[in-house]
Amino acid sequence: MIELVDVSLKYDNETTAVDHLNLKVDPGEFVFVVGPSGAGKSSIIKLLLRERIPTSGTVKVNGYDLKRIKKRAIPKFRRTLGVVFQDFRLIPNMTVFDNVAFALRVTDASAKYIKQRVPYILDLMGLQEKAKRYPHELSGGEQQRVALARALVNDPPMIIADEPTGNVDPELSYEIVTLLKKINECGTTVVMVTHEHEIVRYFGGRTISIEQGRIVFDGQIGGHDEG
Amino acid sequence: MRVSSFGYLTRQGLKNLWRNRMMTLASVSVLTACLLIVGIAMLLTANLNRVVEYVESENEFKAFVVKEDDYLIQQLENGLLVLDESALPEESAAEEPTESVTEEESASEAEESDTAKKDQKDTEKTASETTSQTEEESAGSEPAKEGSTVTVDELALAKEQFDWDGFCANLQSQIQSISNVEDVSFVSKDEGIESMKDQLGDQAELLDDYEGEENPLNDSFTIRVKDLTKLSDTIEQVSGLEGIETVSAANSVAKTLTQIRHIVNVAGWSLVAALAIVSLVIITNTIRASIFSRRKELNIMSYVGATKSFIRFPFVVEGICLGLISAVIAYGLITLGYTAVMNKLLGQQTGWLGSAIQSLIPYSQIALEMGIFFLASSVLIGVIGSTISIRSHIKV
Repeated sequence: MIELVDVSLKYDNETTAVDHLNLKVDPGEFVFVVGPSGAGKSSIIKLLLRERIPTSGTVKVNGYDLKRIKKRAIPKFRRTLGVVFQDFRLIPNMTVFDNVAFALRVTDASAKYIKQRVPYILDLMGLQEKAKRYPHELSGGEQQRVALARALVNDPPMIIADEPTGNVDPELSYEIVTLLKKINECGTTVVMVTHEHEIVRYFGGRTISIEQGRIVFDGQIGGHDEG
Repeated sequence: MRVSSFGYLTRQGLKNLWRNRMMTLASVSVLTACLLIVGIAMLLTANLNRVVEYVESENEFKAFVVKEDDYLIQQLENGLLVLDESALPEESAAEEPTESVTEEESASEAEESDTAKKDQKDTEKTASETTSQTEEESAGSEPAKEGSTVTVDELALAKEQFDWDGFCANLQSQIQSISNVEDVSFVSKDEGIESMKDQLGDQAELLDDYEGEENPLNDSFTIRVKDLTKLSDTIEQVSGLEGIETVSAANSVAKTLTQIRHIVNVAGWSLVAALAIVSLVIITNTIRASIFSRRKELNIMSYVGATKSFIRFPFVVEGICLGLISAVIAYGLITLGYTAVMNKLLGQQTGWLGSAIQSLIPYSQIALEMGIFFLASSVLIGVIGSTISIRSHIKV
């Protein structure tokens, strides 16, 4: 669940990245956030991950008030989010298995649970064959699936995907979004930021368009399979 | 934290060491060198202290009392000693001498010594009577010493009336009351000549002429001090006493050793401090390099919700390991080196060096202390160094 109330974010030199923005995403929703580069999409992601604190307004994610949250509680908050980045952010000298297990180890999970949970998630992502490979041995699409597996392994209530298809071949982009849709069908809230309008038009659903730090459009658009 | 997490993080720390192995090698070498220097300094200091303690334990010096005649002449010249010339020899012997220092003695002591003195004085008197009677006409009005206004008669009378033994006893108690003095023993000039004769052995008769009145020696005190470092102060105090002529400060070896010990202690601690800083800088730098090489990973860790301690722990492990590896290597080298040197030294026990070598500390006696010091200091520096680096380079 996301709730932004009258949120503004200004950077040092008085540039307004987010301008009095109001937004609500309910649990179980799938939301596309679109807009040209520099519109403020990345700033919104940073606010949602509590990488930045809003200049004014309140940001609530998964029940945490990110303006008031104590530093010590941030790791606990971040465990309620699965994050996927455009550049995958896999650790190059760790195997696929370790990259995914990494997110579990951070939460102090038992070795036994890790051994059982990681193969299950890799299986779900169709990566069971690649468990012992290193990231550089995989294609962009496969790497992003590993990143997705890592985001999912903690079973978080929400996935935030920042341009997940940006570094992936176009035909594989659809595969990634399909996976996100499947995850959403299991009840996980998904927020996907993208500038690829084709994908949005293809899949459809709730779409929020941002320009100059403001929401210029928020509504349903029909996808090919719904229309 | 779970045991499995602990194990995982520790392995991560060890992996860091391997991943930055060039940095690890460089910093371990420098740290080992630092510990070696500190270790050598420690061993030197310990051994030096041992030698100084040994010298201290039998440290004594001698203080010589002025000759009785010289003292009395001087006192008479300066009018400090007033002779009771009208008194008859019999009466004067019974009287207490007019010397102020004796007043300090306790009543009982005075009484005791009174009787003893009387006997002594009586014998002295008869001796001096016979000599003075024969010499009276010829040398009675002669000066007792060249350029002196005091006559031989006056000196003889003074000798009769002055309580020399009491004067010496008083000097002894004055020396004893100096705080750094362990004990004092009085060696009279007669005992002095006896011990010289003992030393001469077969040729002891050479000194026969120097016994009794002809004895050229001074009465002396043998003084043992408690703290060698204050030896020069004590010598100064003793030589400042009235009636002490000279002090034999022959213990220059002890003095030099004490100075060396002081220098070594100061230098040693400055060295330890300097090397501790060097080690800290080295560890801090190595950990910083490690942090930079894992920057991406750390960023990802914070996104997946790693706690502060989870992120930091491997680097602390890395810092501790750097310290520990260096400590083990340095300890090994010190052990080998010290034992080798000791064996070589013990092999050539000749002359006075032999006894000096005997007082060196065997390695087994200092090994545990060294080991604990190496471990504790290296772990401490490892923890502090990595913490400094983590605090300034990891932002969570």
